Amino acid sequence: MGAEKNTAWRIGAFWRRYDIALLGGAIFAFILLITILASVVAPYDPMARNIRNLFATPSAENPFGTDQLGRDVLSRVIHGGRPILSASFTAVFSALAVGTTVGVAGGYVGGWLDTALMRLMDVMLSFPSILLAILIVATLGVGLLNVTVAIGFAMVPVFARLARSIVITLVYEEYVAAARSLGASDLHIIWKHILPNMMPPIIVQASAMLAVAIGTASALNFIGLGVEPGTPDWGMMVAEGQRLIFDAPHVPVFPGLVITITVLSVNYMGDGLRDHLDPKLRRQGI
Amino acid sequence: MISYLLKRLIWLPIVLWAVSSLTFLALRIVPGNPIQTVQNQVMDKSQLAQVEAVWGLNRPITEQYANFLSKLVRGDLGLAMSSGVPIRRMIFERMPPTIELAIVSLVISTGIGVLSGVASVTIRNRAIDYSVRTASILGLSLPLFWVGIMLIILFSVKLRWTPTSGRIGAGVDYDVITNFMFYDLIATGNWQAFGSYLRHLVLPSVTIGLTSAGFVARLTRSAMLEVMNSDYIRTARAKGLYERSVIWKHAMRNAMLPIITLQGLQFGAILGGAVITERVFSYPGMGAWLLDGILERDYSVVQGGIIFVALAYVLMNLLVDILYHVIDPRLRNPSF
Amino acid sequence: MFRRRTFSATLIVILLLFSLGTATAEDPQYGGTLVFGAESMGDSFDIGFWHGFGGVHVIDTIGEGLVRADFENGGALPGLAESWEISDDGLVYTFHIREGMTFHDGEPVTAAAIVRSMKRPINPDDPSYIEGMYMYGNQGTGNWESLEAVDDHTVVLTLMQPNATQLLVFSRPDGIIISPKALDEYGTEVGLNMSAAGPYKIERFVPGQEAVLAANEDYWAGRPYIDQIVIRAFPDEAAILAALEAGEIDMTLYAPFTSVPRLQNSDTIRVEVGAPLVNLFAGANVAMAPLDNVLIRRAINYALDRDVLIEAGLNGFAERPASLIGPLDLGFDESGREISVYDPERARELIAESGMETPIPLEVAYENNRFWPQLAELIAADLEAVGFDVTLDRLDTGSFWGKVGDGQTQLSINQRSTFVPDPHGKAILMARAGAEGSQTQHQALEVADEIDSLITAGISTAVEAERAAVYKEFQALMLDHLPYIYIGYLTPPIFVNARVQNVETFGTAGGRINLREVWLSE
Repeated sequence: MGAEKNTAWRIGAFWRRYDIALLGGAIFAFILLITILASVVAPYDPMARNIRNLFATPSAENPFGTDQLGRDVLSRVIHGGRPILSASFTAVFSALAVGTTVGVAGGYVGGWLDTALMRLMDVMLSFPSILLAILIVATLGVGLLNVTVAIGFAMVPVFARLARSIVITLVYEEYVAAARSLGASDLHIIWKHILPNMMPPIIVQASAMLAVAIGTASALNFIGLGVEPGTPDWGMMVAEGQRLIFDAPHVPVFPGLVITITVLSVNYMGDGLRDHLDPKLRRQGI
Repeated sequence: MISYLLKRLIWLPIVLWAVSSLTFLALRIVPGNPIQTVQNQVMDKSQLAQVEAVWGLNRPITEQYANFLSKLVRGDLGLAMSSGVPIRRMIFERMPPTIELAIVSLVISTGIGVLSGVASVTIRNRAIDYSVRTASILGLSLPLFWVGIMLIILFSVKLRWTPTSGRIGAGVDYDVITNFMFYDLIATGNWQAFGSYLRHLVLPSVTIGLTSAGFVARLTRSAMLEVMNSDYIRTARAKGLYERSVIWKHAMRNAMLPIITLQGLQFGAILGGAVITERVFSYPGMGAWLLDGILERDYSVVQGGIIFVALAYVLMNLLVDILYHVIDPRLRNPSF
Repeated sequence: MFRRRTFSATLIVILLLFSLGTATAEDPQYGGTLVFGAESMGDSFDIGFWHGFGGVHVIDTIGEGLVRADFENGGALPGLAESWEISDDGLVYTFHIREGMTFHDGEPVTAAAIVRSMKRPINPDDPSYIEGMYMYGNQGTGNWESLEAVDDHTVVLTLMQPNATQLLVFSRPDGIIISPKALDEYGTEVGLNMSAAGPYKIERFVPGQEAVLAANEDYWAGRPYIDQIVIRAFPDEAAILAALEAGEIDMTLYAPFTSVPRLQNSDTIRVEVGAPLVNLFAGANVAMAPLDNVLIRRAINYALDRDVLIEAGLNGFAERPASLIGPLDLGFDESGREISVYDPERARELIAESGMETPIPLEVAYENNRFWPQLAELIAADLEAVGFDVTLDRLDTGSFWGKVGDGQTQLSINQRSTFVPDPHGKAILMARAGAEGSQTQHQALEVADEIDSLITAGISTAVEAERAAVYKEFQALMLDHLPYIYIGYLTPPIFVNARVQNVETFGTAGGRINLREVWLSE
């Protein structure tokens, strides 16, 4: 009996501590599920045009209305998560991996390597990221992969600088010095002492950058340099619908709402994960 | 400190060289060239070749690059290929509006971001904490063209409080001295124009400010959380210092470091990257100009513009680094 | 013998009153400020360069060339030249310059000043000469034997070859005359300090943002009605609509077409319909399979459901197409309307006849702005319905023209609006000289030479009946071989505030706004 009560109490405490994070996780899981099962769930073919039924307002047949080509907005919203989510996640995680490596290498090794890497990051950063992305897509052509490359490339220095700034404060912490004096190898120190301490801020940054990635993807579509034409994609739908905001607001508003909900849920998850992982915070019980 | 500064300054021309070379190269890789773009339908091949020869586009790329660098070293940015206007003149027209926009946006985002970040940590109320966090993530995730047009619809079309777009009212008379209107209009005592100018600046700077306030609020929140639980704050509390003075003196002092870094980066990002905001608000800044330059493949515009953006960015970062050293003496170490 | 055309001032007024269809019973009023929303504002108004349509609007409002264009009836109207004679062989043009005119900076408009300004693109010694000025290419300078001021008010132009369009190109934006004082004083930066002789003068110019223009009290045809015109850039379509609804702009061509139904019910905004001056079409790259096969090009022609394209793609703002020449152009052949029609059965038959295996892969390229994406998706649907496998190639402006110029597109959708009311402006798309850089790559067309000689014939005679016959033949040949497939003639909505009166809907439809007779009520 006592053990059962204990378990229930633990679950309750866990929920109280991570309520919003769990809720975020549930919503995101739901969105992911819908996205994966899009072709089963969607009531219509997202590409099916009906020029007799343009700009229909939301109704029982088309809960989200129809767009400028008479396509069902709900079906397009359901199908539209896959491209933008896969592009944004891939971009952020690639940038995270590359950027963190660069930052740790620079911050930990120091000296000329640090200087060279950080100046290289400066060069990348001093080129406005949206213009860099535009230039990359203009060169490679529109399409999901190119958009991913463009967004990810521009984010590398953000992670590199963040990682470095954390590393340079950590290398002077007592426990790193202690580990060193005990003869631990550099890789061991990085793996055991630096990375765990670095993860919380990196995770927060990554979930925020996901929002930025989705924003950039939408912006690229707005300029006309996004995914392939016709593809159902939230960013593209919002971008193409912006000019319809006065006349057919349902066309851009629904995909816009879904973007917002997705980003919020991911960020709450990120925050919860951070709180869970951060050894300092865990000690404090906050 | 001085030797550190000098070391950083030595890097300045190298970074600028790298940025301009990469820009040069990138532009040559992008398909299409300025002449094809502008004179699209009727110019025949011989005319095309003639104009290309004028701009040196027919020479080998190495020669074009050497030519570009030698002009750059002499400070000659050339003429815009599409309009024939000297680039330095365009920088004078486009840079000040964007710098003004960047500064006001940063003031807004710092104000909103820090206040809400601090509030979410210090006021021990989950509702406030979560609403601040929600608002800040909303700011991050909403596309700028979306926020911008929403603000226009609400404040300009429905409420008619602010003008929809531009830098100053249509047909308002004023003198241009530095093209920093904030200075020019005060210096000339042109208060009517000054009012119009401020009203036009509100929406675009709020658009950028709101979206980047999200970053600041999150950073403030996490930096505060970390600091609030560190040993010396607990010591300070134990010493019986008032909560408020603990927060502002100690915690903020430490939270300032990442905020300054972030805002330094943001400043650079806004300088060339307020592309969407400038477009939606028809604001005549660098971002909109560079976007047009890229879309029209106007090599000299993009090359010239990017160098100035990079210069401003590097200088801003230098400033940030100096502030760092002033604020946190721990960072004065030889590894820099 | 000389053909002499002299117009008295009263005749011009009568003509204008007739041509401006919306004239109300009210008397025109003087005064007020009109804000025009443009899609861009250039960084200069140097007429040697292209500065987007915002720049063209400013140049058209401040400038004037030797002649002006009559967009409604075709032909030239007097401008700085009050009359002219053309020799029988079509080689010698004698322009009589109106007396007593001044530029905005007060300099007198003399024959010498005009010649100086017109020679700017071919005179490297001129202090305002800029290497790389490309827009002047339209002025035909390469065909000028000599250009001289024989006295203060007579300019004589001698050509090497006759050119029936020579007179009208002087009405182009790049044909406006610039004050010699401005050319001397500002040199290569004259574009930032333009002084011309049109109905408005520049009061202030903020590059990239706006041009503030004031009525020219000394304009030869009389002071225009409106005191001040502000031409301001609004690159974003939703923002331009917001500005229109907030009453910040009085007139624009650049709001989304989709807003028209709602705006038509508004008390404060009126929508007028422009004349069909702009031709929308798909260019077929005849140098590349599968479009090198005329059967395929014909199949595409019959596959396009123009009614749907116009209704769903352009919100009804277009007329059904006929050919490359427009309905207001000299020599327009009505019979093209029977060929540029929707007949999917026929399209399928033609594809079967070609023996090609379906679905036929086909790339459709277009620019990523305005109504092009919408139109392209509808075209793709039509083509897929008859047996094509369409890949949409959405490109930014730079990439689009880069790809077209390199002959890398297959079917590419675009438009042609000519700045003068003359069929040559559209026919020249098919000239041999520009073929390698064109959408159709028509050097590979079996009748390329025949078409080229028709284009040459079209401008080497000044007799209208002969020219009309040449263009009829040209259209028939074009419809037979279909290097271009026609979508429609755009009749663009012109958005105005209800207080704007007497809007000119002809030149305006082709991007040449004419504000000299517009006035504001209330």
